[in-house]
Amino acid sequence: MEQHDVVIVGARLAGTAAAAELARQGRDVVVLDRARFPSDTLSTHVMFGGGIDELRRMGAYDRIAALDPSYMRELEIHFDGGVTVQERWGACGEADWVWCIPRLEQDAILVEAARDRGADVREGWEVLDVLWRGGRVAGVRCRDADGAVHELGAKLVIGADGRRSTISARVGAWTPYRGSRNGRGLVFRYLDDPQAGTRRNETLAQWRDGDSFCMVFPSAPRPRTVALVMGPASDVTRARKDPEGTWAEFLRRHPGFAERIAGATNLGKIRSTADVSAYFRASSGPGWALAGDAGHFKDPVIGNGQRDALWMGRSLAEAAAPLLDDPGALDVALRRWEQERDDECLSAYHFANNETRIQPQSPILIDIARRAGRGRADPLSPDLGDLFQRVRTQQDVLPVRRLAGGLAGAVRRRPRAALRTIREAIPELRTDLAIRAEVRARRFRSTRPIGGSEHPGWSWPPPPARRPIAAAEGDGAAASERPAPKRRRPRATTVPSETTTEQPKVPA
Amino acid sequence: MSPRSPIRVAAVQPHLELGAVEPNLRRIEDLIRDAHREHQPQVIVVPEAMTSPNVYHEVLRGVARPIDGAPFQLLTRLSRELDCVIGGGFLARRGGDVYGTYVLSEPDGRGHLHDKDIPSAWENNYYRGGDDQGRTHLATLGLDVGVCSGWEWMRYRTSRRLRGVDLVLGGMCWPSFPLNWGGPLRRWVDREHAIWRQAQRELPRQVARLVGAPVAHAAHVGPVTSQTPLATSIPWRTEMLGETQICDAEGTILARLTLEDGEGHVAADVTPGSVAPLDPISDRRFWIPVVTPSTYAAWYGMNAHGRLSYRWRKLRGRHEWQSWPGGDLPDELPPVADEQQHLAVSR
Repeated sequence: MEQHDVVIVGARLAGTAAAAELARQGRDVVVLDRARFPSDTLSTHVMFGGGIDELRRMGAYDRIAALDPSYMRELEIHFDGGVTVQERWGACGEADWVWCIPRLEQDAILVEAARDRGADVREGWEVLDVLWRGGRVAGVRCRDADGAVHELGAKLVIGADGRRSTISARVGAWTPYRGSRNGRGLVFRYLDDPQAGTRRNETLAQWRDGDSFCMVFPSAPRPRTVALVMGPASDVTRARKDPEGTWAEFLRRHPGFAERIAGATNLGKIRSTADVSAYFRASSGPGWALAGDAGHFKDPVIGNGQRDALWMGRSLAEAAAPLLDDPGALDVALRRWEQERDDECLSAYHFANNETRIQPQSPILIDIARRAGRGRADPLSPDLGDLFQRVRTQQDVLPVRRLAGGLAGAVRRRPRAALRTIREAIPELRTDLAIRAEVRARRFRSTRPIGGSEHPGWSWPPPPARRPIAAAEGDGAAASERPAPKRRRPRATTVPSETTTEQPKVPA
Repeated sequence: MSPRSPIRVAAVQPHLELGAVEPNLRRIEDLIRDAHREHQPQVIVVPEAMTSPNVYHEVLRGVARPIDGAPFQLLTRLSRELDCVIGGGFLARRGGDVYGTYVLSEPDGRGHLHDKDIPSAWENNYYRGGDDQGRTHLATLGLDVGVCSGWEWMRYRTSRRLRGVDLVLGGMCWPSFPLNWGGPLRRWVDREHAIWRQAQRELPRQVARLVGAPVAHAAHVGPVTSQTPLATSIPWRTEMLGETQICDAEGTILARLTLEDGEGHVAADVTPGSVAPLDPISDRRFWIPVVTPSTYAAWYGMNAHGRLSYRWRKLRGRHEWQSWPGGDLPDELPPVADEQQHLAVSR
């Protein structure tokens, strides 16, 4: 059996971030992924400043910058009723801009960055099972690209293999202990930005029209752009039946969005997903941890998945690397890391749950936006920008005093609807206070749902069945009789089908 | 299964290394697998403190594990894999405290957790007592069982609360008096050591007759070096007393491993089922065996010292386990599918 310090399953954001950091600290790390890169996956694509810093840390920044991406330096949110908030992104780490890089190119660069740091990334390798010894995960059984079955021993196995994580199933953490049903679906397409070269090409724009959010993310290489609609999940069903007809309907319903992309050329195929329930899984145990979407997923409506996945991978590696030779201390460190992850993500999880609700924008929020839009008192402290960048939490940006002010403003603005506004505001405030209390309490793997934030009715599929080794071995040749596997380089000709409307992987 | 059908029960007698949790768990796994291979039992029991001999020593401060940590995973996964009920104990963080938890795990994922009611003497430094009844139902075997850990075996009140069960399962970690102390103390130590050996030898069958049910009692064995409470620089070299036994409801020993036998495992076919107890339970006495003044002194003195130390450390956040997140599992765990494990949460 090959012995390694760490085996990571999944070579996208969290997996490569963890691998790069572990390898940087001199650890022997192997990364396994079923895919061969370049390989695409569904995603909102947005990379906020914190994520860009992570790219810099893992050595991927320069190569991604060389893709000629658009630099989104401003945020523009158009609310119902003609209210617009325009902010310049505040500095988040070293970046005061946002990127939106197609996953096909981005993930291949991440794999190369991990390799450059010394990680052994093996493409086309599929994990079949985890190995146990003394109550701890001690490695994985896997199948290489030629079909031979191997056992790799490891002091730590990291599952960075997405929502349908095989590792989570094999360690018994498949079913989340907490979750929330998504309200929104995701429909998007690539196009060439008709506003390339203008200030609008440097703006992340969002329209909150009725029950839908429409977004434009200038991407890479310029003038490539992502146009995305997050409406009710039922939109996805219609988009799969009649993609272009549904898109045309989006443009009719959302004139601001339509105006922004009018004249776009080189339209890509329409892609969509509605499989985006949010959740927390138990993400650490003896000899194992789950990073990225494998452990926690929040609704993609706030576009924080990529940033969080990179943060999780790197922070997990930093916590584990010095303790790999002391199993007891390692398990404690993994448990602490899981708590730290929850501290990092809990507020954003609730924020995303709020954003995914299918209902018109709250008059309180619109009033707060109106005040912000009337003239920025402090341009160095962009509220919505900070919220999306995770510089500040929703509770920091919207303290109770400010919410009360927003309520007063909304009542003043619509005195005839005062009672209704107050009646609607009370449960919102109750939910907000419950979230504040939960964030302060730091209860480990809390299963107490927060009414008003977590939407009931989320369901979870059965875990993937364990595959018998004989079937996995394919042609039946014994692993030990096969030559040592070779590392595979990316195949430049691999192009993902853009005809897909549903893929097993989901937005980060 | 009818409570009157015989079942095969195996008991493991390990010699474990102080504080070496992960190597000890690997050793326990090997012994369980070996016992299963040799005896094909329906139940396997290992002692309490299967992560480390539970003696007075500073390394014990780092021995507690999360309730869903490696010891729990070992028991539950082996139970499923080997298709038999497996029981074992360890120091487990459950919620805001550490307990001496004994886990009985069934092949379908059911689990039954029992926290020892009173930590013994120095053990009070490392964990606190629980308040469950130590009775549960093994659905796999259709049996009501009682669970005992350590000196719970020695107390009449334990036998009283377990009366009516079909089978008593559990383990013991019983280190003796300091065998390295010489001079004028030598005679006293030898006498106490002999009394404790006798008490340990007689205890399983006494409990069987008091409860009226067969008993499987797994015990630690072998030399161990600890420290002397309140005089930690003085080594306390002693040995675990062994006496792993399987007895029928009349107290007949069906299988046994003594101190001299060392590490190993035994098995026997027992007929579970509650019968009329052969011996009465004393309403006046606390202990089943004869307890010497030295043992009384150690019990009360070390209990007081240990409890104070535990509480004082907890108050100041000085227990190692206070620095990591807790979570807990309920005492009764339902069956779960192969791909779902019981993992600790905060409810």
